[in-house]
Amino acid sequence: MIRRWVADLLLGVRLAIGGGGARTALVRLTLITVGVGLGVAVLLTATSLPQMLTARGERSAERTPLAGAVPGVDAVHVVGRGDEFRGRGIQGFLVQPTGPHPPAVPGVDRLPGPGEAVLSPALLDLLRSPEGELLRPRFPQRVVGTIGDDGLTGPNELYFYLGSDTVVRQPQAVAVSEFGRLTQRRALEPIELLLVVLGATTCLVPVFVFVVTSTRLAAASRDRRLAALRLVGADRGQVRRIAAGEALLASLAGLAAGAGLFLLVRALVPRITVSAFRGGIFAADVVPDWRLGLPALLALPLLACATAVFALRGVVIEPLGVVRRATRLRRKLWWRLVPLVAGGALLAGKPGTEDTRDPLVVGGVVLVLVAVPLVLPWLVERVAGVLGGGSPAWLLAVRRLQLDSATAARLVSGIAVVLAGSIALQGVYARAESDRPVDRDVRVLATAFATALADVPAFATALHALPGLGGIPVQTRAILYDAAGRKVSAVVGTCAELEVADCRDGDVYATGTAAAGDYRPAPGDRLWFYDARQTDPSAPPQWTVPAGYHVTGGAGEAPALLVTTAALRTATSVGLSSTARIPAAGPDLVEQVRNAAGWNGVVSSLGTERDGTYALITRVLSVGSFVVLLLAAAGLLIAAAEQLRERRRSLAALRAGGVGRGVLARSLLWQLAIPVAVAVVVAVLAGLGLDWLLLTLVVHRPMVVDVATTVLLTLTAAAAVPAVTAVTLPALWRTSSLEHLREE
Amino acid sequence: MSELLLEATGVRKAFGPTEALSGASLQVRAGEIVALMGPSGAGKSTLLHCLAGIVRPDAGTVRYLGADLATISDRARSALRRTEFGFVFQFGQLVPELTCLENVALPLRLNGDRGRAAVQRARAVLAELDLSGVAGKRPGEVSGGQGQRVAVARALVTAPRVVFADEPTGALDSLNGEQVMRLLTTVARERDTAVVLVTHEARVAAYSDREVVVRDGRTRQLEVTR
Repeated sequence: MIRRWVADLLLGVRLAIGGGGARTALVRLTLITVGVGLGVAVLLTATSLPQMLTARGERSAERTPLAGAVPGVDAVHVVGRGDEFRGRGIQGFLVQPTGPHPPAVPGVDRLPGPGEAVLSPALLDLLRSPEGELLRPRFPQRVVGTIGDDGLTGPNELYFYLGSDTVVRQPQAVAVSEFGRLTQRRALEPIELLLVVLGATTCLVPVFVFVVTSTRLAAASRDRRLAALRLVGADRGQVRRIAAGEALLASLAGLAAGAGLFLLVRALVPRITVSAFRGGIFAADVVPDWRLGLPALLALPLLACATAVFALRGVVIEPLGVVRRATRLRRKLWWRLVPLVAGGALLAGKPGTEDTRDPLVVGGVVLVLVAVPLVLPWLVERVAGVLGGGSPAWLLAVRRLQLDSATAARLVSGIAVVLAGSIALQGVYARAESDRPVDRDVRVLATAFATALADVPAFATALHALPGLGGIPVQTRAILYDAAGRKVSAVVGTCAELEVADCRDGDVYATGTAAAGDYRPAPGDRLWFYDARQTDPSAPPQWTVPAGYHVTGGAGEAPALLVTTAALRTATSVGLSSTARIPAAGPDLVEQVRNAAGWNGVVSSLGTERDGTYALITRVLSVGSFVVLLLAAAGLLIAAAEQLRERRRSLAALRAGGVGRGVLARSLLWQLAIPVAVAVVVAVLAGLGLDWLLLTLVVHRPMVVDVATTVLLTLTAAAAVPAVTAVTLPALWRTSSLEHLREE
Repeated sequence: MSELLLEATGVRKAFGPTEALSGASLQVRAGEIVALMGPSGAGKSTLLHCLAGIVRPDAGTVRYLGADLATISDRARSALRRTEFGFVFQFGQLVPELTCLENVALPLRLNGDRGRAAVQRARAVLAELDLSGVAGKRPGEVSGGQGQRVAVARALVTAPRVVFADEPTGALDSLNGEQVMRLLTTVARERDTAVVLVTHEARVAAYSDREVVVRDGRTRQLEVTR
């Protein structure tokens, strides 16, 4: 029994590799291999996402400094700094070792001393390139080493350790004795997880649709071949096993091709992810999660075989040939709606929870997207059924769809899922984007910190020297704490800058009204800048409020101090921040402002990468959606070409009967356009519906519809119709050649 | 008198409103070559398909060695086609993906024979029919006459008791047609294999022992003794 089954499967394999003169079998094998291969590559890449994020997160955690003391280790004072150059994030630490045995830093052989730097290879390359000219002023140090892969999240990450002898004086400085341990990777935010689930489902459903479509390609010639086998004695079971054998071979070939394609993508990942992902991705991080990948990969060959066998249900393969069941049953809607209703119910039934990790929420999203390719065939059949005659091209297209709408619906369902998922994704993205507070009146917000009063004017001087920024106001502020931990904000400046009436340099002016709980210092109070005692509880007070102290107006405002610069001359040290708000600045000016602020400053501009994880997810998903849309379009193309090949005799007969090529081309266009139009409507409704369910019911935020992006996505999907038609035209000319009338 | 292999009695078959057979009867004995003659649309092919168990009659019976083909399962009828029957049709019976050798070995493989044994047997049959030269070629690479001779080889490879041939020379010129018929009938007579031959050509029917005329779905026995 088993031997017979194996023999039947092997015969199917043998038929699939007909080779030489058996072009049909080879074309079919190639198409299925391409379909499964692309699917496998997408699956392997998609299932690599968790490992990619985990590996990046782990390496990022491993280099996180931890405050505290470790015996035998000389502490390092560190201050984290984040910056940008031309929109690319630059991060790192200012470090000041305190002894010969500093803690080990991943990827770094030796921590830099004052005036030295250890940089990531990408940052070093950038600095050495002409493109990095404006960045060089920020890195005047001598480069004494590069950071190894262990200390980077990606091969193109711009990361640094800069040695300094002033770190200990920085208000945010931390004494560190170890890196990495105990740090936990932060969990994905609910809205980020929604993005991941939506994106993964959007990518995977079309992959399965593509595999199903590929498996059904060239089915007519396959059926004729199976009929020939029936004539020489193959029974129905054998025919099914032989068909499965054919699909199995193609699936295995597809698995191999997909694995090869994945390895190619993996090898190219460090190069192709320079701009798409912050810091890029190490090839070693692109490792499929076998818990997700293996079942999905096994599912593909099984799906291909099952589809091949399932496709035989509509035909009766008899020794004399193939009989298609004359009375095709009208599609039933009810079971196709089950996933949609179930998914909607799962999402609607979760009010009050914002936990998108809830399996029910994830299941709901998946079910709604899976419903799209199920409902589409029913709808295309109904729409095709009610369409009437018109021009010859329209008539040919409509009648063809009425005869077989299933193929058309299958072909466009991939596009529909991508579109629905992308619209839903875009909605969640738009919501998240709206939630991010952005001061849209300010292009650049630059702040420089100073630990010595003498350093304060440097920032303003450097800034005012920049073109167009001569008169830009720079405000210097401080937060002062008393011994009890009460705080008050202070503005520091000259009398002219403070705009105080009868101002006298060296005095202090108190404004606002002290309400209960507010702290208003009195002359003689001993204060600390920032909360210096948090890092060093024994730190002595840095400044005493002078006797020249005046209470001025500002009733109703919170208490604050206006401190003339001369009044701070008695301070032992200071912690001041100077801030400039720059309403407009070109890219070069932004970089010059960053140089002016230096590593003791923070410059944020519109478009700043605030959250690496969020940016990474959205970029991965955008690239994934685009690839899958290409996959869906490729499926549409090869299926359209295959259909033409199958119909070459009837097309040649039409041409012989006087039907022009233009009519055939327009007929092909309508044949694609009608199902795509239905698919687009379904996808837009499903995408917006999913958005509403997710945002309104699950995460309780108002729905945001980005009309422009939705229209753009829809047009992109719809563009597949003219594109596929145009690419298929040469095949149409060939297949409608009168030569084919002579073929048996 | 030799053994009675096939017996059709009062066979009726309609395709929709069109009645193809309306009470046809026929007997085929071992080693006998029977030609079914008649004009196009008379029901010759339908009768052949009913005799081979490919088409199930609406009424009447077809018995092979006494067993009613209508009462046995599809699997059993498939097994009959693999082991007891052989087929030569006008077109399309060879699998284009397989070589001629593999096509001839196919019924043996479907029957569960091991690959090497099946190939050896198929090679022997091809050699016997002087077709060794096309063994490695695919059907699309050989001439129509060679293809039909390969089909004859495939029909005979399982040593069937009956070969059904439906217009086996219909797509061939007269020279190739005669080669095919000579081959088919010679080997059949050597092996005591019965042949049921559908043709509308008298010169093809001349290879038979007996001619049966099918007209308007009924059979008229013309006992032509050669």
